[in-house]
Amino acid sequence: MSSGAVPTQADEAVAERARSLSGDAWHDLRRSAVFWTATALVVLMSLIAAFPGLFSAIDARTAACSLTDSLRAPDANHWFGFDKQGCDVYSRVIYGARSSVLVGIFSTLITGVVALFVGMLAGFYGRWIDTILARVTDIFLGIPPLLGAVVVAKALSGQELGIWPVVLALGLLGWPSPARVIRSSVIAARHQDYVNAARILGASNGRLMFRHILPNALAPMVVVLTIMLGTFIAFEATLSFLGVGPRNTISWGVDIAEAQRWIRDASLPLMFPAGFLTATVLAFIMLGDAIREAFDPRLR
Amino acid sequence: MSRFVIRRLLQSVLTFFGATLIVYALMFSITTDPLQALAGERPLNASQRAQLTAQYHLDRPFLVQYGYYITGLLTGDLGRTIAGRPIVDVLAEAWPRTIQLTLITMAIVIVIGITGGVFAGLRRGGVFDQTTLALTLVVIGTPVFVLGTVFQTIFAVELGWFRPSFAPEIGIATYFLPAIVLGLLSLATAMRLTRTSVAENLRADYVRTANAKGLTWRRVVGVHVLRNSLIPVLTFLGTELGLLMGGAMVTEGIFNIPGVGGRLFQGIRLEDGPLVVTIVSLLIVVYLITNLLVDLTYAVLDPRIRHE
Repeated sequence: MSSGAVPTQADEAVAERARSLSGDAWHDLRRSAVFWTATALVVLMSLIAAFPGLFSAIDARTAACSLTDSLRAPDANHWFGFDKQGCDVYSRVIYGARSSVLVGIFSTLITGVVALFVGMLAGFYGRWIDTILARVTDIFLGIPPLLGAVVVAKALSGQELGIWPVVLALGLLGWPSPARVIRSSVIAARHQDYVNAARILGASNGRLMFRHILPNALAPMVVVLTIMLGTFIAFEATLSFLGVGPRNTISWGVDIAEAQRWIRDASLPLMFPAGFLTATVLAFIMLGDAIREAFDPRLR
Repeated sequence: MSRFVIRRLLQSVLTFFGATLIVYALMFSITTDPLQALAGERPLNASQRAQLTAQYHLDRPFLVQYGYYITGLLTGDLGRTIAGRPIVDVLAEAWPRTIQLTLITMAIVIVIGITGGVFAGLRRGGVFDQTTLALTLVVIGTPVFVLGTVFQTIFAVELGWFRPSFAPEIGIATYFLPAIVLGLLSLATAMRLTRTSVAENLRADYVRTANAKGLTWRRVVGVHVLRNSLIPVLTFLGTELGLLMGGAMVTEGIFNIPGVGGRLFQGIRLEDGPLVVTIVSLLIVVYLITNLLVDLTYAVLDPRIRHE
């Protein structure tokens, strides 16, 4: 923020008075309880997804379930009780985190890349490129997301592709709204003085787009994508619930669908995966929301 | 204004063709052998196969088939399900239920969402505001199918306040619980939107002017603030109406309501291409029309949009 001519001692004082937008945002975020709660949850869920063995002594993928334990109540060794098949609910919930988190991350990556590409081209070049891309965006927005995802996931589900049909379905249908966000921030940045200055210095279009405009369009994009990651996890569970989710993987959605059938006999096998699912989705949405509030000058 | 209307109309037509083309292509790629599906268990001999192939234009290129399909759709011929039942009949039976469900949902969303949002916005930071903020956050984070199963368990199975599944004999009361589940997310969003909008408008200059003129608080809030605050909420609700019709798939499934969403899901499971494409196309039309109406209303309410 400060210019190089200012002596170093005064530097801090200047920085204190005039922080950059991201500095301001970070200053706000540090005091936000919502931000820290959400971050803690996100870190915890990522750890569970990456190293489920650290959290559960039983490996749900190989554990032998015994029907004599069917729907048994929780005890000291099995905190969440047992499901209909006699499997330990706690270990299934822990091992189910991976598919949700992976689907969330990969579909967000696909969505992010497509959205960045479309939004950047439309916003930077404008004119007919913008018009065409805007119509394509409209077309994809016109497909109800859940319906589209079910059809795509179903179309690809014939082969044993693990989580990928769901990832593709969500990634390919999710990009329109972040693309619009990126487009508008690119348009806002396109005619700023520093971009014109770089252009006069002979910077190529690619350099203008990625070195000069992109950093300024990044914050709103990160916010939208964080929130989308949460909704993608919810969608993954919904697709599993509907029976078109990832195959041969432990998934919260599948477990919830299964537990729902025996709900009159035992509600815990439903409540625990549902609780973890909601907590994870909520963590990402709250994180995005907290960052957005910190970056929004109107709320100051 | 008329230029704006025409442009928006043309855009909607384009979106319609694009979106239906994508859905058609996807369903096209799912169905492995539609003729065998049509014939069921009976084996088909070569001449039957050839005759059916010609009858359904299956030997034609993909785009031509899409052309036949869309012409049929636009002239009112919705085709038949793979089981041979006219899709018009299926829809005639299912639509009324979905429409009833959607209307009741909208009523709940509007009444509770807007009232709650206004109260929260008037006392920003108060107990009511904080509670609704926390509650709406939880709702936004909970997938509909979790809400549905949990509510069904608690309110229908345990407490017995509602029927756990569709019971046409008790009239529209059977839709109450599904409508709450279906509408809760929209309700939470509408409430938050109204709250922010009201809180922002309360600080506007025209409110200070109205207060300075000596108008009663009731009139300032009820007429001046409300009218301006509700514009964004109305747009949201309009778009939501279109989405609800399609989004009822999960809710209708949980509560066993044989509406459009339920039929659609059945169709996807049975790989019933014609049924799925037709329903999705119709839902896209509903969605586009509601969006169009919302945009036009918005243009009437806010002159900045039509003079773009």
